[in-house]
Amino acid sequence: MKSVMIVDDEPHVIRVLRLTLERQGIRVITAANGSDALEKLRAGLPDAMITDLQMPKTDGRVLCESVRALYPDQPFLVIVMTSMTALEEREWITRLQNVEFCEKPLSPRRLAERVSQYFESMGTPEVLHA
Amino acid sequence: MNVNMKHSRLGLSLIIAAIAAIVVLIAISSIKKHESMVQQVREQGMGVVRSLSALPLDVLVTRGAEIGVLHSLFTFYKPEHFAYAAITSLDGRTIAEVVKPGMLTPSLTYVPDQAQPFREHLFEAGLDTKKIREFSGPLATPDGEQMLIRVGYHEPGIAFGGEDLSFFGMLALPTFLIVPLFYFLLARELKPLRSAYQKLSTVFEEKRSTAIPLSQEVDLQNFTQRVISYIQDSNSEMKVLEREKLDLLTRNRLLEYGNNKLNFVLQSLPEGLLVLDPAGHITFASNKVEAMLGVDLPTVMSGRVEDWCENDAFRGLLLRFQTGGIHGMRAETLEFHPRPQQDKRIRTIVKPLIAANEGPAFGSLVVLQDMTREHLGQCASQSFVAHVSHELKSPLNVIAMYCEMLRDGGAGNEAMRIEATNVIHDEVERMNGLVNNLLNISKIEVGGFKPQTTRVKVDDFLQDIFNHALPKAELNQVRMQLTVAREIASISADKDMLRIAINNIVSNAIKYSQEGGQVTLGAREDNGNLVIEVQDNGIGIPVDEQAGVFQKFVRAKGANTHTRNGHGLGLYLANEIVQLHHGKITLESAPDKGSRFSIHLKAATSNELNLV
Repeated sequence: MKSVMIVDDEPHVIRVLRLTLERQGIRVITAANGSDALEKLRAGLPDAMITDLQMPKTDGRVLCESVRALYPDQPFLVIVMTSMTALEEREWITRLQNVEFCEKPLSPRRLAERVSQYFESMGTPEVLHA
Repeated sequence: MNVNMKHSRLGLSLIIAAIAAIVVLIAISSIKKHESMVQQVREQGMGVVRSLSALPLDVLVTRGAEIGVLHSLFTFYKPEHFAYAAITSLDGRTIAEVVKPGMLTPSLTYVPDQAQPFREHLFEAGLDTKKIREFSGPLATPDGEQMLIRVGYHEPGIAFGGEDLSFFGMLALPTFLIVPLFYFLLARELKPLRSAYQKLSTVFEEKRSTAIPLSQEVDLQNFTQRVISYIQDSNSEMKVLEREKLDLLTRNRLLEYGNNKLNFVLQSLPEGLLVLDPAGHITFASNKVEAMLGVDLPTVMSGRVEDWCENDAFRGLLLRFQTGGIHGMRAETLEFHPRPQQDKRIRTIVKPLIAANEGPAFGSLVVLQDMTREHLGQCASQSFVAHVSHELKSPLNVIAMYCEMLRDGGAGNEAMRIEATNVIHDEVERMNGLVNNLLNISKIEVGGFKPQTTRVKVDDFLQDIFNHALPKAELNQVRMQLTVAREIASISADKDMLRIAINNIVSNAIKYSQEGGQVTLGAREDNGNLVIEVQDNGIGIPVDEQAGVFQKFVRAKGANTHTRNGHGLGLYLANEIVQLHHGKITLESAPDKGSRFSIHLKAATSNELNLV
């Protein structure tokens, strides 16, 4: 069973995404912020991650950079949910492998479709960028 | 007149000098003559004595009718200056003598010297007579008795005899004549010069500008004319120069005044100014530059740009004007931070000052504007917009997600429908609260929010707030308590605004309380002030975060999930409202020990209560 970690300080967001992904047979691991997520990653890496950007303690950007630095050989898909539209807020993502943005307000259905699409293509060497 | 006096003095001086010269000549001549006479007497005297000393006594002395040589020699010979001739024994007896009338042979006062038989003596003969120079020599007698032949002469004096008069006259006359001749010749030669001098003096004293007639001496006349002409020209030139000097002085003062005024104007400008010469070197820097760039003016003026300029872009800009010159350069604009990691932001406009069509280049002008306030305002505004955008998008995101769930079949699920409805409702309320807070903040910040003060009975007011907050507290399983005395003082306040402020604080207290916690709303009087307190026993706020809780979009970093509903504007708005009421909010808090927010307001006076 594929697993996805959802990182967001909004419990409602986690709830809806959990329901949507679990309906597709995906196991969901949740964390309330970046620090919590990094802690849980030690126990095992997911197949994909969906994370908010603005969170208390450790935000989404630091989480993504830390994940790539800590686990460079396992660049699983990371989808960053953001409402920041400024270009300079997006430039950092191009330096990271397999990390893409998803604009808020987001559609749980489309998010789930993107994750499924990624899982189907997991065997190919190409990686996807936003 | 002065010239004539000088002329007379010169003549007199020459006469006196001539007389003096004559006197000197006469004196010298007299002295020479006297010396000659003395020498003559000495030679004569000694010669006579030697001659007579060689004769026997009986030849010398007169015996009876035979006149002795001594008598005949001096009686008939009568040498000049002769005083006496005598034959004297060694014991002083005069044997024979011949004396000049009126003269007596002096006594022998000395002892003859065998070693020097012929001698001469000079002695005073008496008070009224001249000195006597006596010549003596031995005289042998037939019987062997030694005797002395003595011949005395009057010592010649410096006499001015009649025979000398013609000589001196001949000496004085030419000398005396030379002087007038010399004077005449000199006067004749100096006459043109004297005339020129008089005329020049007239030019200086009377300042004539017409031609002055001169004497007929051609060379001197030409010279004098040239000198006079030169002096007149110089005089005119000096007048012109004096006028020009005065003009220059006046213009210089005006220029200095203008320069000072311009300098004052430049220094008064709010912008900083740098002026570069055509070679790109800094020749002027106004005082504002020092504060803007953080570099003292002497360093800016004399130091190398590479040494004092810490910003790469600005340094590069200045160096381009140095290395490339100003021709071909265009106006450039740049915004930069003078020092790294500093909020100060400077905008600079550099413009080369070249006249049209490649005319004269005056250098370049660098204008520095302090854009820090605008920059920070822009940053704050951008940050504010970003925060508001995020705060609005977050609930919208939740609403959109639940709507999609309902649309995708969730509506058929009763539990899901109820959950979605409640969540959407909460998020709409959250957005509504945010919008209201933003609107209130906006009104306060633009100064359009004026408190409409009325008399507020604090006990009823707080009861109202308590009742409003109670449902939310119960939902979060937090106990609420109200402690306010019925007779507590009233206040003069805008009830609606103050309600917003206290509601925000109470909401925070409930939000940051654990389940089973307690929030107490109360009021007390304190030395004429009224203190409204909201106390909770929730998670508390660390000391290093307490100052920031009253700023926009700052939320305490509590781990409690209830904090997700905060926008970070409630306390900021509450603080603004209390300040509009001339009050203040104080905070006491410690982690895990809860917090106490105290609103200090002035209790209303009886006058204020009568007015409202």
